[in-house]
Amino acid sequence: MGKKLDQALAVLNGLVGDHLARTGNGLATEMAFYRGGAALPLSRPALIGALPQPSPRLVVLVHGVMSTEAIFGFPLAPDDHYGHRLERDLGFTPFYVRYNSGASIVENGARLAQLLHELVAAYPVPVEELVLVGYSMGGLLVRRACRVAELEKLSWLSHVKRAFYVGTPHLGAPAERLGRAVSALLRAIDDPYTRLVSEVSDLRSQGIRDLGDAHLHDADSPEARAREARALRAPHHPLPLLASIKHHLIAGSLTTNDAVAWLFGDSIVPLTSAAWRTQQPNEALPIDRVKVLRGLNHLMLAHNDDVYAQLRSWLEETS
Amino acid sequence: MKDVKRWKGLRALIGDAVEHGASAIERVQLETAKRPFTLLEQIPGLAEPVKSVHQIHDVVVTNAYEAVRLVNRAVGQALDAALDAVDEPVKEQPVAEPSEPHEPETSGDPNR
Repeated sequence: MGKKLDQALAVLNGLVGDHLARTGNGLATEMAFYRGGAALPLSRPALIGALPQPSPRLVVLVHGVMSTEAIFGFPLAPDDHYGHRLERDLGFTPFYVRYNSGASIVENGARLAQLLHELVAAYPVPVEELVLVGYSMGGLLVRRACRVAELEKLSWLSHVKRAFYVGTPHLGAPAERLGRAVSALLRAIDDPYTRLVSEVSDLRSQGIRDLGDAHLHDADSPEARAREARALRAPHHPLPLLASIKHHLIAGSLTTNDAVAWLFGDSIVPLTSAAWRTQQPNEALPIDRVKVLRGLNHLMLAHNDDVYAQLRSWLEETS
Repeated sequence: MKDVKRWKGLRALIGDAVEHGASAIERVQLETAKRPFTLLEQIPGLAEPVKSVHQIHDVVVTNAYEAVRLVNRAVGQALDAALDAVDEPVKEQPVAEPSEPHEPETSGDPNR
């Protein structure tokens, strides 16, 4: 019952979480690290109690939209996660973030930056390395949190040498942009029923809207936001990856056919977006830090042996 | 405490949905009715009576949806009060101190 309720709340938060947070609704999820289904207080005594053998190497995993950390559970062994395997195989101490995925990515990223600051400050042993793993929207939160840490000179960023993104829509999600365009079209038609359909469609949360353009900026004017709402592609997009970190990308592809994969990717995120194939050649990532896994849809990327093998392989390399 | 907070959240969410849903449907109904009324109001001789009917229609529709919103708010406030009452004893339960041993009370029942 607990996990099912958590899952139902995660879906609700993803759909209308910005409204829940704005109205102070008790169903809104507060961002926290979760362990064994419960929030982990970020105090040294609580961490000492929860972690019998804290490792100086930490891995923080961030889930995607409308889900919880349970998304990382393997179907046949729900308690077996990437984090659990990294602890067993490479000696990392895993931390799972749970958050309101309907709130804006900018807000969630800022909160994640603060949460990481509190974690490193309260951690029982000196931190040597902090590895960040973001799945889907979680990858965008990781990028935003790093950006905030850079701007605010938060010390935890110095521990981050490597970040991993799994199925993350770095260049946005076209499905959301298409939905936005259809909604705008329906709104423009002078008919009360089509406008009603448009209003219902516009109830989707800010977090989902942000996925359309991988929205990570915080200084946009209302005019720029309105312009972005009309465009199929935002003019300022994408935000560069932070240069001080080694970024590693895993993308899923439903088929081996390149054209179909280019269009549909893992069914939600196209390959160009998940694999950071920008129009700017100087922004391209080295080929050995981008892995496209064939035959995997978006959900499978969160709990798959091949994805874990790739993560492990990269993490075994000396940073 | 956390459960009560969530129940209150659910209550508020349903209240918001009814409030906004009623307003949206009201708008659709008023706009839909406006079209035939506007056409009829252009026919000479019919314009004045149709305008009156249009106004009466709009007032009746608006009042009906306002009643839905009022009942929704009243039910919401009643549920909030009930949830507060459920939560109250848990929050303010005094810690019982060990009491002195005392004489058993004598029963007033004459049959004992």
